[in-house]
Amino acid sequence: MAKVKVEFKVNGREYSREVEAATRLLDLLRNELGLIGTKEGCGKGECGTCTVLMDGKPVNSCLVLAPQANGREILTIEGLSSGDRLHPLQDAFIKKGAVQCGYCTPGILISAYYLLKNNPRPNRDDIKEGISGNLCRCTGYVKIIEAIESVTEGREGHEE
Amino acid sequence: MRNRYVGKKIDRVDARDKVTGKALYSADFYLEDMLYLKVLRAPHPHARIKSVDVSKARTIPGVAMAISAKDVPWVKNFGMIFKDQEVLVREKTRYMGDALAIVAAETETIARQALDYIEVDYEPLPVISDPLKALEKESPYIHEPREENCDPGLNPGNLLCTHRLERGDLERGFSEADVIVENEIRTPHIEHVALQPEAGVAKYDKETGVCTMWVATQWLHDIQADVAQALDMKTEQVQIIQPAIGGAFGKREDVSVHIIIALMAILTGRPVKMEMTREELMITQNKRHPIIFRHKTGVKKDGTITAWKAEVIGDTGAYASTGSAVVHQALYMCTGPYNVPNLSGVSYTAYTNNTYAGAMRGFGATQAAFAYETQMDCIAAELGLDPLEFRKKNAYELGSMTPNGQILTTSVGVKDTLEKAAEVFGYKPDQLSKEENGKIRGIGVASSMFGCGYGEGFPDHSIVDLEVTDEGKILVHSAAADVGQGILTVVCQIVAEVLDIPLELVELAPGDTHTSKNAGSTSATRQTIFSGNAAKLAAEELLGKIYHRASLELVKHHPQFLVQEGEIVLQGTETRISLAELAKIAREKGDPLHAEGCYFPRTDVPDEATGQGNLVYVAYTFNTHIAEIEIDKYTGETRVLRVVAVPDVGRVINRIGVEGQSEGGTVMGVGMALMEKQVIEEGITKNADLSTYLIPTSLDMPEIITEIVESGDAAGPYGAKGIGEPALLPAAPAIINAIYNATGVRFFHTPVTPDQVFKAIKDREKKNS
Ligand code: FES
Ligand code: FES
Repeated sequence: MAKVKVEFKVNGREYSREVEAATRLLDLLRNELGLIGTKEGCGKGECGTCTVLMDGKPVNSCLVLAPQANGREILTIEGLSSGDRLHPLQDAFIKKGAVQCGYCTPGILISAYYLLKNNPRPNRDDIKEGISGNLCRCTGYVKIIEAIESVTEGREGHEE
Repeated sequence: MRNRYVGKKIDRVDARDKVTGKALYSADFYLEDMLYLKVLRAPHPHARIKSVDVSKARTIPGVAMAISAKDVPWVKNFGMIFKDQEVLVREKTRYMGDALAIVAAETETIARQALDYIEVDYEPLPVISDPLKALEKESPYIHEPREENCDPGLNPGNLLCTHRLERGDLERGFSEADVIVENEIRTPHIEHVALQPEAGVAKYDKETGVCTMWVATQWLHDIQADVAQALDMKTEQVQIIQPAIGGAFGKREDVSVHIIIALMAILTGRPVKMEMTREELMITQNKRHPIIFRHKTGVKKDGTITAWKAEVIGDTGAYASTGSAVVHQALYMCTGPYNVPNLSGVSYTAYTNNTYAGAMRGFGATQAAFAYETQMDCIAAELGLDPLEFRKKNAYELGSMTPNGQILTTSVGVKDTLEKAAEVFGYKPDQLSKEENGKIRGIGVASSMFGCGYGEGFPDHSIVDLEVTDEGKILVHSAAADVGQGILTVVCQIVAEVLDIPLELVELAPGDTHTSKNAGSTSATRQTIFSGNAAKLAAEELLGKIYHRASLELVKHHPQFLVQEGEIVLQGTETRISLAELAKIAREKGDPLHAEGCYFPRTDVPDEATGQGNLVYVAYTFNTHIAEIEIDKYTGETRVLRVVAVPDVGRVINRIGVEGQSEGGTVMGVGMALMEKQVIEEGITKNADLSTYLIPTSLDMPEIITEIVESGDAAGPYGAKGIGEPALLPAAPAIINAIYNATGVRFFHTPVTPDQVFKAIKDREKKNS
């Protein structure tokens, strides 16, 4: 199969790779770049575990072909923290007990990050809507929503 | 004494790796020079296989190997209880998930494409997908007939097993009753939808003869043994290293990719990886058993239950898996947490050509809870009693007897859960429904019981091993599978509690069959009790050893010194020895600071004819839910607005963990009540993906309030009991009982869908007008 060159930025770093045209962005990230934080739960755009940001917008990376990412900027879970410093959302997920098996966590964190970037003061319904494309089978979503709520603007560091 | 960690909200020990994307799940392992595997599944649910020809597939560039059953005649059958499942099918398929051939190729794409070149010649056989039909004597056999343990009149090739419960005098019980209520209640195939699909990586070392695998399982040592026996290896030739696990809910109790990856690593001599697609695993891997319950209950006008007769028929599909245990648990829990003096029950587990069924959260007790809580609600309605009061009147107390004849002598909080739930919810018997602007609201109650641990005389146990490292940390070796529920955090918490050290000083070694001993299964809601107790025993033993070594070094006795914050402190002086130093000294003196704890309680095998025993389970967890729902009259859509969940967990170990289980279980119950059913018609799944098999999203969840009852004094550490499975049990029946109170229409199955509710409301209106 024909190889295509993909030049793009992931988590602020430039990459250039030759891939088969039918390669999914998800496979390029995981298999070629070793960014295994992005997960595959269905491969069909149904579960949200593969969510990343492409040019600032959430996409299911299982539905995006790698060549479509050419010239774009991708953010994955690995890019959310800076070095050892966690993003406040990551901290909140730990503190509020929003993580159980953790398989949905990277995707949900990316969705939550996008939500707060565009709406720093979401209400409960906005949060529910914002993560509705990400399935979680373990938590019942309660603590995930509480965690996101705890870092909305004006509530940072808020403790019960 | 106040606890430092036990009972508190404790951050999970693995959370940081999980929020940063560093946690490694099965599919995240990449080995040098790895081959990718794909499996050809059955062309028909029940067919005689005449030939499987892989020769064309072998010629595809990039294919390293393609095999069918005849290439590996030495491979043995596998199965958790009965070895009735073939790794590669030899003569006939029994369901759509049966494996016919395996391809190993340089890429996953090549492996997948090569499957198209495999030719299968087969002859279809009649498909049996109804368990009642399967049990009829005339039906074709799915397995070899086993006349010896078959009830005469039933089908010896399709009846897997029968179990019984007998107590008291059923006839007398019914003759004392004022009212007799009879119902048939049914539950469907349900899929776990653990978010991580089944996957694994394996490599084989020719020198040592050891096959090492990174693959999720709920029970390392059991899967290790099953792989070894299937491939004719010694147990120690199979090494399983536990990766992070992306949910399980019973799904990962069964073998999935395990034997296949080990086999192909050995045959090809190269590392291999296999990832199942969502569709493949939904068709191939275990389901929740569909179960039919036929309940007949006798009750006096005042609400006293006098007799209960139960018939339970479970569809275990093509293979037994844990089916015999699941279905008999549905029988053993069939009357719930209520006093029943006269009881008679029988359960049948039937083979069909459906996807096989095995463990799923609740293990038969979930289906049972839906059935008895439907029955209890029907009885209350029949007698005109408040459903909550009626339950309270019959609920267990100290001294009550379970269906198995076990007298409860401790930790019976079921009444407290009913009372607490009513109080927190603001339950008012005269306000169980109201209608406003085309929306009907309803309130429903359900309670439940769950026997923790394998019980029934099974050699159920767990071993935890601790050592003090040169850095002065406590290294924990435990094979307990943390499937997301948080057992490893609980283990670390208990170790830190006993040793009175900061939690950060406790470190975990990954679960590994070669460095950790058997912890038993992460199932039966047993790990907090079993591995929790083992951790406590190990830590107490280690503390003794620390005291022993310190007393030799300091020539002083307890209580002149204390173990505190990772140091041995001589009271009233500046003298301190760090744990690291002490560990070094101890090792040099040939007596390292190391301890093992083993929890191995006794339980009794219930009598075969009556199901009665003295100590059948080590503990029982109770849980009550009150649910409020709202139905849109014009669409039939039901929304769950609010659930008050009140489990009795004996004693809380990690509060955030108990809440998390309760919330997750509740939402899984919303799915069970209103959405979830794997549709299998004539053996063929019609909804094998997540856009046709729907589970609750964040938009479907209700407000959930969890209030925990701590009845204390249970068999677990600090008096704890388990919560994982019981968290789910009352959710679906509470919701469906709420639908009844809202509409006056009783549903005897799950899921209850909008079209059904809409039709029921219309029918009722027609009847009333
Ligand atoms: S893996 Fe992409 S949405 Fe499920
Ligand atoms: S934590 Fe397991 S799926 Fe969300």
